[in-house]
Amino acid sequence: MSKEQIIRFLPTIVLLLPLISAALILLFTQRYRKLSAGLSTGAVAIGLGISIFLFASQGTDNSEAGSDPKFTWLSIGLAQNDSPLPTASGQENFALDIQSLNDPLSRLMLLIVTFIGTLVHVFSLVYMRKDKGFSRYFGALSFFVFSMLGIVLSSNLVMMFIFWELVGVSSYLLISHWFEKPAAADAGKKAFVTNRIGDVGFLLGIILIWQQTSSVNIAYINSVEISTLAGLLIFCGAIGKSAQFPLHVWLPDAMEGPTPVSALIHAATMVAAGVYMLCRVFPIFTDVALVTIAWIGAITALLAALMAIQQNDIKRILAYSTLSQLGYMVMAVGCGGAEAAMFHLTTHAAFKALLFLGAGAVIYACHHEQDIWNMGGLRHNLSRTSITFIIGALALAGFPLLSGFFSKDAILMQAHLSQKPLFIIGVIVAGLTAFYMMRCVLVAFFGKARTDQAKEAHEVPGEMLLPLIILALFSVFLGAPQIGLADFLNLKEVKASHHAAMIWGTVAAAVGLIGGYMIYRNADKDPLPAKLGAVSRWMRDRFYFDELYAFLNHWTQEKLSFASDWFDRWIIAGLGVKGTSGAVDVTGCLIRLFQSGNLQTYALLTVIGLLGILAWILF
Amino acid sequence: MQEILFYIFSALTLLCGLLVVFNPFSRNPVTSAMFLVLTIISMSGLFVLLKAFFLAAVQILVYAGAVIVLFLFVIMLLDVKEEERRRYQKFGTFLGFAAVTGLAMLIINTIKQSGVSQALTGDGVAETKPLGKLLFTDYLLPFEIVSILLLVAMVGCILLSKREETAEAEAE
Amino acid sequence: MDLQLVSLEIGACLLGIMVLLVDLWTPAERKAQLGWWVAGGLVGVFCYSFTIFDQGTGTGATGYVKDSLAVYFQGYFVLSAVLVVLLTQSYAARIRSGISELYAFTCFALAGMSFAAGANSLVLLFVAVELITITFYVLTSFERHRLRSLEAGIKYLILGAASSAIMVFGIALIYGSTGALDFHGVARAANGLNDDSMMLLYQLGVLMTLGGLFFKLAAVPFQLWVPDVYQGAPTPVTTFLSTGSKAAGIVLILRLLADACPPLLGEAWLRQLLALMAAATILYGSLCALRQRNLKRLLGYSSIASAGFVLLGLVTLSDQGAQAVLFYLTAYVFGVVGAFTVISVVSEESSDEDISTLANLHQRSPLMATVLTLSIISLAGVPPLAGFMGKFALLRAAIDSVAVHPVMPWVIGAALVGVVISFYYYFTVIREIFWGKGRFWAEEAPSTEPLLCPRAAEVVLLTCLFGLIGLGLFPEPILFIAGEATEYLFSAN
Repeated sequence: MSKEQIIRFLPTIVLLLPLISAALILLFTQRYRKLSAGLSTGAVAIGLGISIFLFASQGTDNSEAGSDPKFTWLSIGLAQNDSPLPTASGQENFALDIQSLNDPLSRLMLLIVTFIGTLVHVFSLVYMRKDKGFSRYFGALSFFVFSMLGIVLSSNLVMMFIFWELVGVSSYLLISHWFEKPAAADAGKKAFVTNRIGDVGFLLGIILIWQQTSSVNIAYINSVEISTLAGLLIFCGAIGKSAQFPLHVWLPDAMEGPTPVSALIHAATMVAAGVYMLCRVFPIFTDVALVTIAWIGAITALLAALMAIQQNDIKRILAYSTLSQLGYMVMAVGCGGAEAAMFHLTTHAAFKALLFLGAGAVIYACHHEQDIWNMGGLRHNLSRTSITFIIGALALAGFPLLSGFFSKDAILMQAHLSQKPLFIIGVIVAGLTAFYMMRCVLVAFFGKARTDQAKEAHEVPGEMLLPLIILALFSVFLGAPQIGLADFLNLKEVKASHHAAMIWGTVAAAVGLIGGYMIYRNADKDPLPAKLGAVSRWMRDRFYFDELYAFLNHWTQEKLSFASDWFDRWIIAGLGVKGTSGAVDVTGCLIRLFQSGNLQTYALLTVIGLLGILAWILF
Repeated sequence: MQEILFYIFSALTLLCGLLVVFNPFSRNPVTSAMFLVLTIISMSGLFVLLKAFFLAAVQILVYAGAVIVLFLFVIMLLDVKEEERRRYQKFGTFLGFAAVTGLAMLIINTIKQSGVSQALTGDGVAETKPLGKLLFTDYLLPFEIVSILLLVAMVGCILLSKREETAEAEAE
Repeated sequence: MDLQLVSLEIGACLLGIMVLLVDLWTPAERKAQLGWWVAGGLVGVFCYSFTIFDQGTGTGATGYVKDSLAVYFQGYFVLSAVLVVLLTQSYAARIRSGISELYAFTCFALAGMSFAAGANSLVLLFVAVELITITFYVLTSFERHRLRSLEAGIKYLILGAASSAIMVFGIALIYGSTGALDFHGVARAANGLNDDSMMLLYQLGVLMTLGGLFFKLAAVPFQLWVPDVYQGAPTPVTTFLSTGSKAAGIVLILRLLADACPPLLGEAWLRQLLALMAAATILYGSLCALRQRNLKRLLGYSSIASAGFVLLGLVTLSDQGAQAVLFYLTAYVFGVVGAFTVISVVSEESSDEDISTLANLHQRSPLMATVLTLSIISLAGVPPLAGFMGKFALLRAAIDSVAVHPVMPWVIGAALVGVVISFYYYFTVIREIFWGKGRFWAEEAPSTEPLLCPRAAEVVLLTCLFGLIGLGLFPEPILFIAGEATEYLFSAN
């Protein structure tokens, strides 16, 4: 086998390694904690090695988008069809090729996922050390990495959808890892159910596309025209997975999971899957669809940034910030800048994973204290952790020459090119981002320690620190033009817009940072509620979206139950049935009466049945 | 003459068959078994009318002779008092009658419509010699399979009736 | 007669007789170990019979044909027999006497099934069916220290005898109206039956013969015996009933319809009948399974529902439908055997078959929990497992024939409703494995002690695991073979 042939198998190997590790852990090694952790970490680390090799050796080479092995799934009763694209009468030739995709976009995502995955695994080795579900945790982690890589490598929408669902399942397992905690179990359920709503749209979109083009092959559908409706339905999937308005409510609650999980799932990978998917099928969106996408993204970015300002839980701040940044990326896609979105996705993965892991380290050091107002002064005890955290915060705030600065710049430029209102929102969000990150850093790391936990915090062990330092380096340098990420993504630059974006972005970041510094310098409690009054309460309570949904849910349920009660009482009360399931149940009970166990009855019923058939046919 | 005999034998077969399962005068299983013998004998009369002498003889030898004697042994060895006390369920009996009559009507009606009214006479295949020839040539395979079937039945009977090695039957 | 043609059946019978003989010289405690030899022997016999197949097909005057359809089903039967023998071995502790006879009877039943697979005449059809059924009468009541097992045996005996009587009456009517016993002779004669009145007699005969076969398949209204017998019979026997015996009914129905009834295939009533039965069977099985707490009974109902799905493939009366049926059965074997094996091990430990005995299984034995979960979701038809591909193939064949069969949309609708209902009871089982709390009136929490799985059962479980995932991901080879086997089955007419 020549070298080229081996390379063609590599993406699939990366995909399968975590699956094997998950299966081994689940089936055999659950009792041996170290072995399980080693298997899981090893699998993703080898994956990282292969990804780096692929990335380095093939780079932007787009000529060979396929890989081996390729096999055809679901082509019932048909002659094998060798042509890669289905013919016009696709119904006849429905063949689904399962094949890993190997193009620049997927290679980049492969690198991100395995890179962050490896660091999170290493970090978890210490963070989860005392957990009794240690092996289960690593098994689920491996399974998650497998599903995520599946999305990245999918060459058709059906395959992507299957992995999409698997990601939902595995994130459910991870979020509710501490299932004995009701909040965690509920959060897992909420994430799963909310995601399902988006997934239904996604599935409908896939079916619609299949019906319109007779194909689900991504490369093919990108080359033909697709209706706006189908595009929007596909976008629904991204709304769910990337937690866009109005399905954003699950992400903050998902912070109930272990913090490394938040870093992996809710910063770098799973939530980015929506954006990745949008970029992957970008050409299918019509103008109308793009405008909708852009505005949904912008609204999410703005709302989430406002909410983040009044959160006190360090992980929740980061969660809302993630929401806001995802909104940013989606907005970029909507403005026609899929490359800019991918650029920001990459840098964001680095610094947001850094922030989450940093928050994890802080929480670990403070004995699971998460309220920033109960911290303070941590820079003295946790000097190295705090430096990395501050770097991450600055990168997120768009501090000049850090990675976030360049990627944010690219998005603002796209917005400037597209619609001015979007650009204004983008700038405002940039300012707000700088403001709440300043608040978070000042309150948690500066000033004086406000509680005993904060006073007695110790620096975290080296295994936790190492990922932080690596990520900090990436957060600083990843965006720099010399690294060439922008070139790799083929980012276009328009001079005038570029300047406007750079100037306004920097001004916004500066205003935010300075404003935050002025307000929170030496603050012992949040001064904002007093100044803003009701508005701050709104922000803290997340604009009452959860309450609104709870109310809507409640209300519809109330009305529905009233209606069904009425239905029950007047329509099927005579039968003593409650609702459809009850009807099915009772039917089951009724026909089970045949199964009396009495032999003569059976014989009689059989003969009567035969009689019925014969009489029906012969007369 | 043949026609009259046919009707007599058929009527006897039906009547005795009915009395096997539904006898208003006696619930004794021995009576049922005896009526079964009568049913089989009258059926072999029908075979004779069809010139299937071999079948008729086998019918009497195997069924009336061997099988029923075995039946009687078993019935007499078992305690049959319980069965004698049981009464007929009126509704069940009625439904059973209705179902069987319905099936019979249906089949009779179909046969009538198909126009097979005149009695078919045998073409001689059912005689002993051609039958034996056929069995050992054309139908050799099914014939041999039946021997395995008999082996299975034999082993199964021994297995199910021999005393358990470890324990007596226990109630669940 | 070419003896080589039936070498598989001869081999199976000889193996059975050999086991009966070897039993005499085997010490009691080693008898269970014979299972490995039987399983190995069966595989060997099957492999040998392949070498004969290469020499070309042949039909004798005996009414036996060894074509690709027969070979497919024979492979299927040997596969399930091997799995069942291994399962029997891990069940041996509960058979108080006659474990060797149990192996031998499995072999005899297998011989009957492979005769059925190649049956090409009504005589052979009847004899093969009787060989299978009579073997199962004994097998069902094998645990005679359990009243339930005896009761199941008696029920199966009487209902089975009744259905055989119906079938033999039907065969007599077919012979009476066509004067032929082999399928092609029947078909030729039936094609010449212009006379409407004689046609009616022929139809009646076919219907009654089919009735006896539907009894094997457990299609409504011949399904009533299933729950009681499945529950009462020893678990390996239940497994063989739901895989082997059922499939024997299917292959005979396929052959009878395709080879002996060409004049009826165009009739609307045949399709309507099959469609109605398919819908009724699916719904009956699914509805009855709701709320069912006895695991074997639950799987009994689920097996009725899957018989309905097989009928769904038969309704199409097309090669594609037959191909889907073959694939569905193969996928079905792994799910059913996997589920029954786990149930057998679990219920042996707790001497109970209630669904609550599964509680904590994922802690007690991850392997068994995995296989049972996968089996169940495969039976439910969730991608990407084997069962999904099976149901998918069936539904696809059904959808493809909508244009020809006006009743089809209704049956597909009923099938979908059945699938939805089935999710409910299948997932009850899964819930019990992972979140089960035991019986709600029980004092103590369900056990979390590790549960040991016998070696033979482990082999079965791993085979099923492999099959479930393998067939789900790589259905092509089996689909291809199934396609070969059913090529020109219906379209030749």
